[in-house]
Parts: sequence; C-alpha cells; structure tokens
Amino acid sequence: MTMVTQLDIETDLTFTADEIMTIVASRELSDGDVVFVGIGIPSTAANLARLTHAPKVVLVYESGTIGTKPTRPPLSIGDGELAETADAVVSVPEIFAYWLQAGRIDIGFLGAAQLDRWGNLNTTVVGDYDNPTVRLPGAGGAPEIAFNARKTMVVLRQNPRAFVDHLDFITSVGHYEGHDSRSALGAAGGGPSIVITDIGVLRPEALTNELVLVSLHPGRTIDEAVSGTGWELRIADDLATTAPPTAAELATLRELSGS
Amino acid sequence: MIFLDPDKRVDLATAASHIGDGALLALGGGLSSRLPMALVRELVRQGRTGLHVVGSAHSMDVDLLVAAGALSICEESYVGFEQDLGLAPAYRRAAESGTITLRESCCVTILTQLRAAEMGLPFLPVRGIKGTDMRRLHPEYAETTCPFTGEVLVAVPPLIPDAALIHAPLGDLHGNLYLDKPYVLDERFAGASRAVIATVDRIVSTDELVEYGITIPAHYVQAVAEVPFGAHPASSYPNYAYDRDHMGVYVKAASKPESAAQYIEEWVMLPDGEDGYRAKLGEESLQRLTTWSESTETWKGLFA
Repeated sequence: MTMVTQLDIETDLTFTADEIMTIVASRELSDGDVVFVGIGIPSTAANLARLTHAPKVVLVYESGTIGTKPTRPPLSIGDGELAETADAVVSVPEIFAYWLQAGRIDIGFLGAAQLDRWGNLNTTVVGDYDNPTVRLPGAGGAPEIAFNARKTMVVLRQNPRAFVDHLDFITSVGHYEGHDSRSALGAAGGGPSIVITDIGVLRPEALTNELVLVSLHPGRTIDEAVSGTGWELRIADDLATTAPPTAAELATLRELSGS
Repeated sequence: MIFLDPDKRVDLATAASHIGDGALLALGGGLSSRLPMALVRELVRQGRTGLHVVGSAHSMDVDLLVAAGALSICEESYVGFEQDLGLAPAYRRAAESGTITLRESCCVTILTQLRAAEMGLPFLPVRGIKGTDMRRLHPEYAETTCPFTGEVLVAVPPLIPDAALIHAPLGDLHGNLYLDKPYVLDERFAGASRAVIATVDRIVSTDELVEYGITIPAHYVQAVAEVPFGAHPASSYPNYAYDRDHMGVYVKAASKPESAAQYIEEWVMLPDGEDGYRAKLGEESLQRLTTWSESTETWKGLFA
C-alpha cells in the first residue's frame, strides 16, 4: 500500500475501485469499435472512452439505440436520453439479429455475479437453480453477446464469492471448458479477451484460454489477487502494473458521473 | 387471430376480463419503459391467479404480479431493476422460497420462438444458448444440423402467448397503436400472440394517429382501453418519463411480505381503480413526469 501513498504525494490523484475499473475498461475501446454495453460500469466506461480518446466509438444498448451519446450515464436502458441522442433507434429484434447474431458487434461488455477461470459467467442464481440462495435477475441478452461478439470484456470485483472454481449456473459461455472447446461448441466470436477487476487485469492465456493475472493496479498485491480468487490463480511471467488514472481521465469521469 | 371490429374501445375492467386464470402472457415494453402497469394492477384487482409470463427484460410488472400472488410460472429472461434499484424483491423471495416456478431462457431464444410463431414454422434455430444451463431447463429444445453447413444448432419451437398486454402512448378506436421507439419486442409479441389487449394514454382520431405512424395495426388488437398514465411508474414516451421515485417506493415496500401487501392494498386495491391511483399520485407529480422533454436539465432533474 506504500505505493499508493507515494503515488498520491507525487500526483495528488486518488481514485476509487470503481474509478480505476471504469478507466481501465475505457482504455480498451478504440475509435470505430461497435460496443454492446449494459448499464453500470460498462456504460460509464464506454461513455468515458467516447469523451476522451475514442470519440468515434459506437455505443449500442440492448433497447435498440445505435451510436448513442448520453450526457450522463443512464440509470436504465429505457432512459429517454439514450434514444434522444442516438444516431438511430432500431427494434430489439434488429439489435439481436443484424447487429449481434450476424457478427457486427466488435466488443460485448458484460458484468456478472460469478465468473470461472474460463470466463464463463453466471447472472442467474447463487446456489441450486430450483432452490437458490440468491435469485439474480437472469440472462437478458448476455448469452448471445457472449457467444457472438468478436470479443467480450468483463468487469467484476475480485473476491472469492465472485471468482469461483465452479459456477452455480452457466448463463453465458466464455472460453467454456478451456483450450479450443469454445470454438468446438460453435461460438462465432472470440470470447473474453480481458477481465478487469478492482485489483488488476486478467487475460486468457494462449492455447489453454485460462484467465491469468497480467496486471496489478497501482498499490495492489499478488496476495490480494490470489486470495480474491476461488481457483488457483496463475500469474503471468511478465506481470505489469496498470498505468494509474490520469488527471484528465479522472476529471472527465467525475464530470460524467456527476460526482 | 385477426380482429376486424371497427370499434374495440372498452373500459380497463373489460380489457382485463379477456385474460383468464392461468393465461400465458407476454408483457409489453421492458425495464423502465412502457410496462402495461394499469392492466397488471387491474388483473390483481380482479384476483387473477396462476398467470404464466414469458418475455425478455422486466421489472415492476412481473414483481408486482408475484407480490400479489397472481403469478405461478415465470419465463422472463431478466427480472430486476437494473443497477439502479437492484434485484426484484418479490420475485427474488418467491424464487428462493420456491413459491413460483421458473423456466427462463434468454432474450434471443424467446425472440426466435416468437418469430417461429409469426411465420407458422415448427421451429427456428439459435446458437447463443449452446453450452449454457438454460438449455437444460428446456427439454423441449432440440438439436438440429444445418443441411448446408453441417453446423449443429439448437432448434426452438414456436411460442404462442394467449395474449400480449401492451401499453401505447396513443391509439385509435379500431385498435391501431402508435409506439415511441424503442419498440422492444412488442411488434413480435403482437404477431405471435393469439390477441393483443392494449391500453393507451390517449385515444385519438385515426387521422391524428396516422400522422404519428401506426406501429401495431388494429387487426392484432382485440380490445383497447384508454387509461391515462397507464404505464406509470414506467415511462410512456413521448408522454412521460418513468417515475424513479415511485419505483423506489415500490422496491422498498416489496422487500418484505408485509409491506408488499400494504403497497398492494394502498396503491392497487383502490375502489375506484386507476382513477384512484392517479388521484393518489396527485396531479402535480404526474405532470412533473411530462416535463422531461422541456430541457436536458428538466429531464435530469427527474432522476436526481
């Protein structure tokens, strides 16, 4: 934790876990990317990218808005401003058929309650399906996003309840059972390319497609990442430190979020 | 079915009376927008039970039916109040205690089943459900091999709801409906269901409706009832934004069975029905929701 203190003294920049997750996620997006986003950090990160380094990123929300440019992160995908500021509003069937199933989404941006080492996601139940401990909202459109987007990004806080050895329910397929099992299943898109947590960044390893820790956020430790993971987390040989948020990124994010 | 009566106007009670106990229903709109809340409240007032709902992303409509004990089977692909207000309290409680049966699927699978119904086809294929646990909740799905590419796909059968309950901002006496975008799945629900039972904020002349554009033509529609603010607390753009404060009041009340019952007593079981509901909300709070389009600041103010 000394590192954070030093960093604070040097740059006078402190940030919350949500802020670094959002900023790291926004950096993954580039001009021209067509991004399918849900409400929460994905939506905020995509808008942050649009307002900073990627003004031409195209935001697609499940409600049917294409190229939307909200002035603040929406609280609901039914928000009027999403439709008002969109280049086009199409029907939900068109979103799924033309944009998603036919492979026109570059990046699918997902959250979850549980994730396993292959990047499979659970947003359905904690515990047994017929007798759940926690009933979650369900799949929504996530399974098709996970299956068809050219790649997917996942944002999720890293703790043993979320990063589990075995999912209680597979809602959306990631790298399925590892290795080439995802493509063998017939999935069109490439699956999870990055998992961004409050501790660091995981990416699938070549060949096995197992998620490994490739970067730690400033001030976070390998021990924290390992103890936040319910499987035996592997660490990349060339483990990096995430570049800290810049003053510009933080200022834009805070203005966007109204905080 | 095709409905050709020239005048389908009915009152809300009559509209709801077309729905029997145990009916398979598609609820129009989604999440915070254009939920058929007046019809949902009226079904609760009329004491309907055993309802079976199927669809995509829903919130208070499904949760209120669950809280009232009107719902037995839920196949909605998402039930919740998004990140903002969180999990659906009554739905969650019922699921965790086993008082409702869940057989959910995902949005695209349901959409595909509706398309099969519209086209009169015995099945259509989907991909995205492969490898998921939703697949095992649906023994009626089957595998099929594409005759051209050899790709193995999941074949899903047609889905034919008994009725689609749809709220629209405007309609006419024939039952033509204008919807503001986004339409969500409503056009597909209309085509796949045996009947559309509609509420509209306002019935206007056909000429005026045509100016706006007809989204759902009258031949799908069995009955249309004029119910101002009939989607409240969901939005019915361009008429009004969603009432986030009231959604919050509901979510808080629904978190415990006692307060959920009290909410239903207080806000649903009113002797004068929807007139009483609007009176209880008050003219001022309802009008406030209509100011969303005046300026970005006004709109933001509604969600502060």
